[in-house]
Amino acid sequence: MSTDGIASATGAMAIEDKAAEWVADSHNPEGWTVERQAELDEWLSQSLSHRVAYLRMEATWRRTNRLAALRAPMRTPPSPNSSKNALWMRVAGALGLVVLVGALAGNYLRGPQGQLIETPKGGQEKLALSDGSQIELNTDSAIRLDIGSAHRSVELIRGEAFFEIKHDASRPFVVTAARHTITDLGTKFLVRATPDSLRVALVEGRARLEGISGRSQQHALVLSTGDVAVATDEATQVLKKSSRELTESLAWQHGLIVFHNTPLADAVAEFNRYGGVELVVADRGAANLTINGTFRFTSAENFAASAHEIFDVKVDHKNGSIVLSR
Amino acid sequence: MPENTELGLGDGDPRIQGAVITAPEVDAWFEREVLPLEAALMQFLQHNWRNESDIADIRQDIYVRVYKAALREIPTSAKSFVFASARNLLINKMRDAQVVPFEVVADVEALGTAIDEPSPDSAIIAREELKRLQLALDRLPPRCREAFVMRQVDGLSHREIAIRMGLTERTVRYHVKEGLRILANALYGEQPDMRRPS
Repeated sequence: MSTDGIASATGAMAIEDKAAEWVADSHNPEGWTVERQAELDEWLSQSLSHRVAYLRMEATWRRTNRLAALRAPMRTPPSPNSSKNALWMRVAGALGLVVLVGALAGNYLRGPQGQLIETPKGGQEKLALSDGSQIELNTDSAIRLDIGSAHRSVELIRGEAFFEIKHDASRPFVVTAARHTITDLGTKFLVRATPDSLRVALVEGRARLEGISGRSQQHALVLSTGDVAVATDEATQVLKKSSRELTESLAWQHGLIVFHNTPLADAVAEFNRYGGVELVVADRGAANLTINGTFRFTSAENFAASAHEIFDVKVDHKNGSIVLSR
Repeated sequence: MPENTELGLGDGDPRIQGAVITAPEVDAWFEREVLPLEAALMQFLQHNWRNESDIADIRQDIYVRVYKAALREIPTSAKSFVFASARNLLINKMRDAQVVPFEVVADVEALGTAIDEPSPDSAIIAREELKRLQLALDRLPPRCREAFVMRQVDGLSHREIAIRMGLTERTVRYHVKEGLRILANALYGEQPDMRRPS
């Protein structure tokens, strides 16, 4: 038998070998680059057989770490700076994510009152305010900023924004969206406005939510960490979410969308927010399929291909749209 | 060679073109629930499929099916799901090969009892694992072991190891990869080396 094991191996053997090579390379403290990570992602995306082989090798690699605890170092200890980057790569590699270096790095100061800031479909923008607060806008969103010496107010005109507010009792920070106000009580929160409802997720701290529609006199609600409020003109519903779920709802900050048992119809709507190739679900059979996974929101075509692969849904290209049906 | 030379990829090509699927939940489940079944699975396959050279492919095919199913919904019992997949796959392969040795089918049918043993608790599993890994590590070819230990235990890079061992980086890379591959089989498959002689 040949010792290099690659040429002579059958399908599974060759894949296993390649997976071991990827895992060994990705943990090597030198020489692992964003380009190599992209190549690994590409390889992983080619076939589920690649993914399972990779998972198996990655799990083995992590377990052999325990051997380190048992053995005295044979030689000199590792150089101390060798592992920090590698750890991040390791985590990213294990999750199969592309390392996004500085993709969202643009922080700039914006000051003037009443300033309108908009993002196009597929765009995002991170704003650093002079008071130390930060606002991050997701795709197809608009806010109007009004920051004065005695007040701070932001109107979310449409879309979705994440607020990290430096609390200042003398200068309350008030977000207005979908006929409600959210008043910061020391907080990080995510607000998403659709034409008929408002969703506020409290990632950290507290905030007060009040309806300002003339019709109904709604009670003010104080939301605390983990609360997700869904408000319409008529009613407000508050649910408790785990920190993992909250983190996932912010995956867009990293260019990702996370689905957990998400109906295909909802998943498609989520993709379409970002304005790539339009996805259409043609029938109820397809709409009700549920999907799990993390996707880059720029990869609607790939998502359609996955849906085809996992659920055998039909994928047709029509007038620039991708139509999914059963 | 007998008739069963196909790759065993079964119904549908498992390729997902260009898609970026990452499902951390499914990955974690696969590692936690499915991989530890590998030794039992290998034993089952070896017992029920005579062509030893097909087994690595069959195992891979089972993993792909199980993983793919978990992307839709994580099965409640990994054990019954894995073995049910194995069973169905073998039956299909036997049908395709048009050789249905009677005793093999009987064996597949008898499977039900064999997979219901209680699982040992996780502390015991962890200790067992470590013991297996250590044994396997000690049995690696000397240069391979040396390179692997310097990488994984001492944390040296391939380049640093190459300098110390007087080898090329490429060779070091090969040793580390090979060490990992062999240890994976020792850890999960309990097979010293599944590679068949060519």
